[in-house]
Amino acid sequence: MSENLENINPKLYKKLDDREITVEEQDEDVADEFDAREIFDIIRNINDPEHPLTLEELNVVEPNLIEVDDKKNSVDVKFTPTIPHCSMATLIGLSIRVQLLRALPSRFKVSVEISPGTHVSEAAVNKQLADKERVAAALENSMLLGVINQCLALKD
Amino acid sequence: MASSPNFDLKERLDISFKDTTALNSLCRNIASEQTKCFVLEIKSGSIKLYTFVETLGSYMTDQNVLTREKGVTALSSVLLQLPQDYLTESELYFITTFYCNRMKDHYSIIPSVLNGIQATVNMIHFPQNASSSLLRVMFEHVQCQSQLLPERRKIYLIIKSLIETRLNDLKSMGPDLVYGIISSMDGERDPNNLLLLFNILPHFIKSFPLGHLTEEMFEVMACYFPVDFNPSGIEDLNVTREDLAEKLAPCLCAVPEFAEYCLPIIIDKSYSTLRVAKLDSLNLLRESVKIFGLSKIESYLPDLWTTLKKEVIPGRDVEIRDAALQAITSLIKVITVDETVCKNFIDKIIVDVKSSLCDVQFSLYRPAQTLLETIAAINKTICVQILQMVIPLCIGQYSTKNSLNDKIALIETLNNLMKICSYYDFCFQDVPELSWTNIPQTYLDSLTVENIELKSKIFFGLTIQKAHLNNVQRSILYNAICNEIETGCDKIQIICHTTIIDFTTLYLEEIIMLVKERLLSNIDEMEIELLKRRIKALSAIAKIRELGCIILPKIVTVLTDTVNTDIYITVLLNIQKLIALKKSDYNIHQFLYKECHIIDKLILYETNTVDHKMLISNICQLIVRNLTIEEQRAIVAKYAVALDTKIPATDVTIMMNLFTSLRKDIDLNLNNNMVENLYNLATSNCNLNTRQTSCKFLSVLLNKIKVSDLDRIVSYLENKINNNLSADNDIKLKQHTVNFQIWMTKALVMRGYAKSQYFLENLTLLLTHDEIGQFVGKQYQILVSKSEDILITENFCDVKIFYKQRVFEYLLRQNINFTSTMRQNYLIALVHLLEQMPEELLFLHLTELVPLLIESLSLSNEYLVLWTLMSFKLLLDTKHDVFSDNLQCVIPRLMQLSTHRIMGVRIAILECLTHYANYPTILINPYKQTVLNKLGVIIDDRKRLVRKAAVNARTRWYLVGASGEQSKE
Repeated sequence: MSENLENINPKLYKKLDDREITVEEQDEDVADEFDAREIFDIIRNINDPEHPLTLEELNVVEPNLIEVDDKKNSVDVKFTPTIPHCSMATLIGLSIRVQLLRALPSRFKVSVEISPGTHVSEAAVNKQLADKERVAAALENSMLLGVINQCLALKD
Repeated sequence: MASSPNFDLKERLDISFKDTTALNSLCRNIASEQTKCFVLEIKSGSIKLYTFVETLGSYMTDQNVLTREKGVTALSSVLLQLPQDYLTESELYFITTFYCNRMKDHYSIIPSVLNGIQATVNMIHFPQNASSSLLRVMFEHVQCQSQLLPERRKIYLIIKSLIETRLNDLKSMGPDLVYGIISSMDGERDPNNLLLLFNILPHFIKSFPLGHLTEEMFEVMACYFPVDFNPSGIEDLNVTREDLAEKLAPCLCAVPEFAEYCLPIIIDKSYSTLRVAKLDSLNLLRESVKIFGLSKIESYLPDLWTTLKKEVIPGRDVEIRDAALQAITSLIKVITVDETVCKNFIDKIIVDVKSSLCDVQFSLYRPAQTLLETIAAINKTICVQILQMVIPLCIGQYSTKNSLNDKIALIETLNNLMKICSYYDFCFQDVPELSWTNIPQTYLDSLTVENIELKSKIFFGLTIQKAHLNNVQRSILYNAICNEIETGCDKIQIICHTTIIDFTTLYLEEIIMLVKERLLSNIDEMEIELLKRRIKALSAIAKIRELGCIILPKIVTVLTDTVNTDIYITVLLNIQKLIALKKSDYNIHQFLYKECHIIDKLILYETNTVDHKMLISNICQLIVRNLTIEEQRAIVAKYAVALDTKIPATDVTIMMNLFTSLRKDIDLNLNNNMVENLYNLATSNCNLNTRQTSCKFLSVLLNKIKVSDLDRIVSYLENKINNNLSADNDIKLKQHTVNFQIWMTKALVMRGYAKSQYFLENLTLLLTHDEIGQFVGKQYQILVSKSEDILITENFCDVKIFYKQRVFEYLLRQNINFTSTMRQNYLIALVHLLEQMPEELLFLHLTELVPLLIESLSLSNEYLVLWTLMSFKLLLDTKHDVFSDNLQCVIPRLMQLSTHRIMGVRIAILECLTHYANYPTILINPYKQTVLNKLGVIIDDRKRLVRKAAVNARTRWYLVGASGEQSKE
């Protein structure tokens, strides 16, 4: 398998520390809003389809590329493929989408896109990821769903 | 019988041949009679062996196969039961020849023949030259692999005992023997037999020239490599795959001649997709190269490196990577005998991994670094060779990279290599090609960085190269350390302390100077913050004897001189930390007591703050605990009066702590006055701390006091307690009394006091008390509390083994005695108790425990529910049947509680649900949709922590029964 990797020696990034638990978060009476860090915590541990590394370690997802508006119910995630011609970009995007679909309340409108200028077929991938029908169809495919579930399974 | 033994014997044999069990017992009788004969030197004149053989003659020559078989069986059984030194050489020769002939007989006789041969070869006087002829006949006439399992085992045992004892005679057989063994074992499938063979073979292969049969010998064993074995039947349970693999490896590399067959198979199998195949190959490689030697492995080196490299870089599987690293180490150690070969091999490695090292940011940097570090540790020459390549790369990157993370990784590489160098007692600059480097200076220059992690790594690196720093560099470092102590953050301060301690091993004089002139100077007129930092540093390094003798007296003087409470507390906290250390190179406690008179000084200190009192008390306890019995007596003589008189309650707490850790032999002369005084403090004092301390102190006394005094005091206290608990008293007083009662019960149960069961029952009965039942329930756990720091063996208390188990099992048994309204208090007590029990014990009682926990979940008491969930969550991981059996009532209840008012309950529920997702799919799949729907609502909870737990649970439940789910073990 290792012979067929597109990017055999990817660049590594340091992981962020766990989010510190604040006094407000422990207070029963305060309501906490959704914020970018919370979304990031949901998707940071998704596994890369090729490497035994997480999307965070490969810098595919970053907290500052996530925008959240709790009032207007919108979440906007941008991700950066490790190399511009990465054929896994769609699969990675799909994993992020599925994870958010499962982990966010249904009131949110989620968009997952490639950060501008980081991939050769950016527009095509974005269009695929934005198409609800195609995402739903992809999840009907049990092979593909299996691959995605493996990416989403938490390592213990 | 004695009159005509021959006739008699013949008759008995005739009878017994009709019945097999009788035959066996007859043989045993004959053998024992033979033994007797031997002992009495044939005095009695009963049966002799030759008479017996003669009598058997007619059976042996009978036409009927069955009769012949019985005859041989009889003889073999007798032989098996004779003592091993009974028969002479000529007798054995005769018997052997007889058996050799029998082997040509009918196949159904063979098992008995083998029995006889096995008995014969184990005889001490077995003739030297008989073994080769025996084996020849055996190989020729007995087809080992067409025999049944027990017979095959006998054949192997015969071969084994001959190889072990008749080595020289067997050598005359030459290749025939090797061929015989090969054909006997070829195709053997039984794991126990294989284990037996693998045990014999290395010795055999090493002692006998294999000649042209080398390859055949190797192949007959190699077909088992890598061992693929799954124990299925009960009979195989004592053999594991690992046993077989471990025993097979030495066979495959027994002699250097095997190299040309073994190495290709290793290389081949290491490309396998099976994990065990890789691990076995790597382990075999590690062992085999040591035996094969350089000449045999030289031509395989390039192939071996390619194989090993793919396991080390990128090295995803840590176990395989470590096995590969060990194999490489072993391989290089073998080839170091030839310097050029070794150098070329290392050069090849260096060329291959150099590209990975060129940029620290890439994912292959770490694996390459690990590989080179492992190799560099082998010997100094290799280390130098690797340094020449790595150091320039590292230094180059260190000076050009800007990212802190990169710098940290690079410094770490340098530190690791430095550690290897310091093990070989040289530094980078000693290598001629690297003399241009100035690592100490680079490190010292970097001390100004802000990043804490990097800075701590630099301090660490400087500590490693402490032997190679010159005067100037050292004084720069000392300056830096002093600055950090005065301004740095906590983590750096601690690192500075360890750095100082490390340097004392080499530069004690300098460090003493540093302490005297820098750290201890101007201590009287210093700004408070600065002084606190200095005190922290000084007490941290005081664990070194030479430094402690200078530092501790000064610090203790600060205690008496200072007027500032802040400083005072800092000193106390640091002393507490110092004396709580498990090991130090001198007796700090005694030094503080004798040289610094710390106890007197502490007791004189006047304060009204509770925390300070507690701190002082704790220090006193820790110090007294480590004093000799004479010193403890002296303290008692000086201060024990305080317990007798009614001195102010606040002071008494310190006294009590002073006496908590006395040895058992020291008698405090407890009289009723004292006990009454202490009891009143424990139950009626208005201060919570005083009450607690008194409770604990009294329990320590009760635990340690002589049995003769105990009965008197206990019954006195029991009366007191009953009075306090009588109906018309204030509820607060009752609670305090119960609290004391718990402590008393604890002390008595711990020492295994005769009446302790009675007290335990009394206490449990209080759970039904309508006023204080609930209070008892919450406090019941004190009996077995994990955080116990008073009633412990360090304080010379009597702690019986398994006392916790006794309390727990007693309470569990009381289940049936609590009904209706009383159950809640009982469950509260039980659930609180669970927190304190070791998990192993809980696992033992899961079947009784879990129904009780489920019952608690259905009650309305919120805190009971929360506590129950905590234990429940912990136990869920066992995946015990009792949880699966109760799924249909637990999961709906959990869902119901998932919108509970208390955040902690919601989180605990979600964690329990996450654990449940690991249960077998077939059990939980029916609940999947309901759980997902419910969780779909909770992921919009208003608390972030709840949402986090809900996200974990929901994403995990999505995988239940879905494709791509990892297998559940």
